[in-house]
Amino acid sequence: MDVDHFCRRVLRSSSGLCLGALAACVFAGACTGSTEPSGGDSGGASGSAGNNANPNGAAPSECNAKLSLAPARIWRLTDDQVANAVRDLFGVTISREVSGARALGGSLNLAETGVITGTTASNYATAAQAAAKEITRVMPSSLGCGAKLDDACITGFLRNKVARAFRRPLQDTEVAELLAVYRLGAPDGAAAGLELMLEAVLQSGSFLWRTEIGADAAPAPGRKVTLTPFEVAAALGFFFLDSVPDDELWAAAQDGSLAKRQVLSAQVDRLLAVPRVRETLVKNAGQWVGLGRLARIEKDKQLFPKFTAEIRDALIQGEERFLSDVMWSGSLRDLFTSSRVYVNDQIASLYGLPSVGGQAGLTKVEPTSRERGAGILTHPAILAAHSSPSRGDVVHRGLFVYNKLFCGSTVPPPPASLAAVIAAQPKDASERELSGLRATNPSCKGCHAFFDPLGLAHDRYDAIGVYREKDPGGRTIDQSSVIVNLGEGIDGPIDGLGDVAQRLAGSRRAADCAVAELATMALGRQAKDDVTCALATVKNEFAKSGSFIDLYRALATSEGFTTRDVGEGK
Amino acid sequence: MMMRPFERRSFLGLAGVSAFEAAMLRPLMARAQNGAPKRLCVLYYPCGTVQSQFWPKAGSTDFASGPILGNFAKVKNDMVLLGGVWNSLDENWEGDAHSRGLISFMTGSRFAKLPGFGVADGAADSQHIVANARSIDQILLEKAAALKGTARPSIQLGGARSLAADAGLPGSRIMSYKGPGATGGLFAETRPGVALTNVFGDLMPGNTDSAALERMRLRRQGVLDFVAKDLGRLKAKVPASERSRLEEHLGAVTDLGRQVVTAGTAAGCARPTLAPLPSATEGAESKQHEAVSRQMLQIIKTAFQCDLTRVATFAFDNALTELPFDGVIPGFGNSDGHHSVTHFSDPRFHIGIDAFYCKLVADFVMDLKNTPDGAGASLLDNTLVVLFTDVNDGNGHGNEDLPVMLFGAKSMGLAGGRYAKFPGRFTTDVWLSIARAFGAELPAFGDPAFAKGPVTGLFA
Repeated sequence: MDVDHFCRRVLRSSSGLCLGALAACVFAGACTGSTEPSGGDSGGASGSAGNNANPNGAAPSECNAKLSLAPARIWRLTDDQVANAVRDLFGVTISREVSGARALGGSLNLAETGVITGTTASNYATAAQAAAKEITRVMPSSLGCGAKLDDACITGFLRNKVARAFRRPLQDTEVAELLAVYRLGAPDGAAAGLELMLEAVLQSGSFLWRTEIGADAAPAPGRKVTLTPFEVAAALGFFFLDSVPDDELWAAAQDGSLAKRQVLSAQVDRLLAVPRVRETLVKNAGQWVGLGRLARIEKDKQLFPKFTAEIRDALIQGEERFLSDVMWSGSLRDLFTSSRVYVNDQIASLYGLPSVGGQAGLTKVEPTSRERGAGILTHPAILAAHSSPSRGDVVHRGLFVYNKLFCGSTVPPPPASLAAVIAAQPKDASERELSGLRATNPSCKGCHAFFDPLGLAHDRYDAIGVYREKDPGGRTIDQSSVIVNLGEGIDGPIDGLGDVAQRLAGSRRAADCAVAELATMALGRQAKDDVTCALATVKNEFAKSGSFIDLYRALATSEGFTTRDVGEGK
Repeated sequence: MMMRPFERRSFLGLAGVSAFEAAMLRPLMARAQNGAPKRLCVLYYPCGTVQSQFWPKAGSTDFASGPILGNFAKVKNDMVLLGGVWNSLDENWEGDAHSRGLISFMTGSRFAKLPGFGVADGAADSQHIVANARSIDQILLEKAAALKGTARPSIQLGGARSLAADAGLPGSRIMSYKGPGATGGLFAETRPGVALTNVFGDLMPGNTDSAALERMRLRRQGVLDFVAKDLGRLKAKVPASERSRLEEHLGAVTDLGRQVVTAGTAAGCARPTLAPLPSATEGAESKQHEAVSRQMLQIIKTAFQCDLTRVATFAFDNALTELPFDGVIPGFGNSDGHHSVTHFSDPRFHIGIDAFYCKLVADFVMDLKNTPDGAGASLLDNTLVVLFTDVNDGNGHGNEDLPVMLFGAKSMGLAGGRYAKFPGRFTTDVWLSIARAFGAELPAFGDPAFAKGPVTGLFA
């Protein structure tokens, strides 16, 4: 799009001058404005830029003590949760493609966005048929009742097994209706009856929708409800196991003891030691730092022929091993300052990391070079995840650190002139030169000033994360910049990722941001702008120790975790 | 073909489908006028074209020529190339140009920002947009009696896994919207086998004896009865704020109940047999792109032929696709993804991609033309196929001179073999004319700032 064309589509003054640039200037003001404390830009417990000035962090007075951690709501199961539930309850592995439309937030499963429309409902029906067929294939059609498969036996199955799929006891009406479905299929044999019944169960709303609504029907707007023990069990099950409640949770829901704080607390401690729970939480943390993005990324095959899908998958696995180390035996500080990295021979040779002497699997190494000493920031996996196919990417690397690690102020989308600006850029400019152009362009600089400096600190790492000190012309690559807009103790000159890591490791803001990001996944709602005292308390707990176990424990045992606020009707 | 309304009293009673019988009668009424139903098929391919290579050269008498449109030579007598039409949007809007182009074409209205997404998955914030209105296919489905009453009211299919498998940016992936927002979006099914089951059910005439069919029908009905009752109970329990999504789910289950479980059969109507897809490892799905696209188009054709649906939307890929075409077209010679190709490569690569899509569409149109549909007519005569892309030029992202092509619809008065210019008119204006051709008089469509009223001379 040339400039004239651009002018044609924007404001034109009476004198015929193009006002596009002016319009863009006005627009760019959005970022300038956001430096004002808005309460919404830090995700922190103490307002905007001053989080790090509040290291000990008593719960701030401006948090809202009345709010629960989530509204009363329905929440659609993810495809993984459907598949995990079928596996855990019936011992059957089914395809993880269930709905055909995963959560609308990509890796995020936000409760408010889940819907089931025509195609999705068809897919659930098709998946339920396949799963029911497979379950009845492996399950004894006698249901363990011996030769006599009578109504009592099937009722027992419904009340013991199907109830757990629904995460609550079955009503008598439901038992009667599902028995009727069984009888429709039973003329072709007990297995056919069971298959049909399971088909109904596995595509029903009671299975596919989690409910967090308390005990009373249709609670009135403005009320706060307490989750039933069964709902608490489900909340813990999906949070920690990504599945329906396990035996212990189910028992504690059935006898009602889960309503007691000390029982809830003991269950949370038990769960946090279960290997599968830890794997689930590591996967979630991996989504936070961009491993989902890495899994889908393709690098330029001509420039990076050695960056194969095999390497990419190994990088993801290695990063999960690292996250596991940090989360279960380390602290947040290690995330940004550890020199540990998991490699195999191929990775070591591609990235110039210490050799692991012919070991096929992933092995941890601790390189001493400064350029690999900043935890995830200097890991090949993370560097590759936030880059374009062919270039180290100042913008997206910067946005990652700014948004996901510091929870910086919300950045509006680029202005309409983006295409024109990109088209006008010199094709052979370096990333730093391009950033320099953005810094002088009134329609760019308002926002890019916030995250480009963080991106420039990455400039010695190419698109797949290989470190090179000099550019092709033999000049030393400049990695210096100045952080702004993130508050006292963070803002100021830096020279490369080591300095970014120090600012992250030492800041309350980054600790609060980690809580907000992980809580968003656990709670199924955006927690970045959270104002609840419940989450502020979790932030305070985490800030004390930096322990992820403490973070998850504080979150799951918070009073706000077991209550819900009823919103206005539509 | 005759659809026999099957007995589903308890289910229908609960779901409140009192208009069901009326709906079942409508296709018969529509058909009485010209002997066959009318259909609408909207096809979308992403990332614009190469403007300088797309439009007919000045003075040329043959619009179906050149490296891109030349692929339509064999169907040009059933084709109308629209010229000078602007997509109904303002280039100064800040949203991603591709997604907003798709959204505005389908809804005539400006997108909405997606709430609460931030920069999930590293995508630019500008890409977090979604439609803020119903799409034209769903509006026509409601307003045009001629399109109603089939087992599946409408179907949404796609040619690439990225349309559904990772739904992080709904605005770039959804063509059809039942209502505003991501929750109003109808995602495309991208797995041909699943699409086949969803559209045709697992029972078609000739598969088994009628008594067995009847048993199977009763069973499916029993299952859906339970699902509907369960949803009804759930709806009564939840806070008011949550009810609409359960109503939506219930509506979808109601539609499932209308799926074919038994039917008489139109001449030549048979469940398609799909060949196995070329094997492709995860991440190399581009090898399957052509086969998946062709199978989906085959499913649409057969669903039309069997009158299982009359409204279909099909996206070849999502608006921000980076599908590497060296996996799609052997010897393509460029390893970049589709969107990158449109920006950073020699234009011949982009031309190659567009030529590929045009060829697939031309084959689909030929297939419709070769399929009889009622006395002396072809399926193409009774189907309006609309093909469009999201921006005019892949590199420039403009909204003027948007490539839009119409095919077929002879029975609705569309005279083919034309390059019809409507300079400065909007896509909403074209849709209003199309609505009339389907017998729906819409008072307006889309944002009034981008609508001037129906164009004249398009349909007889």
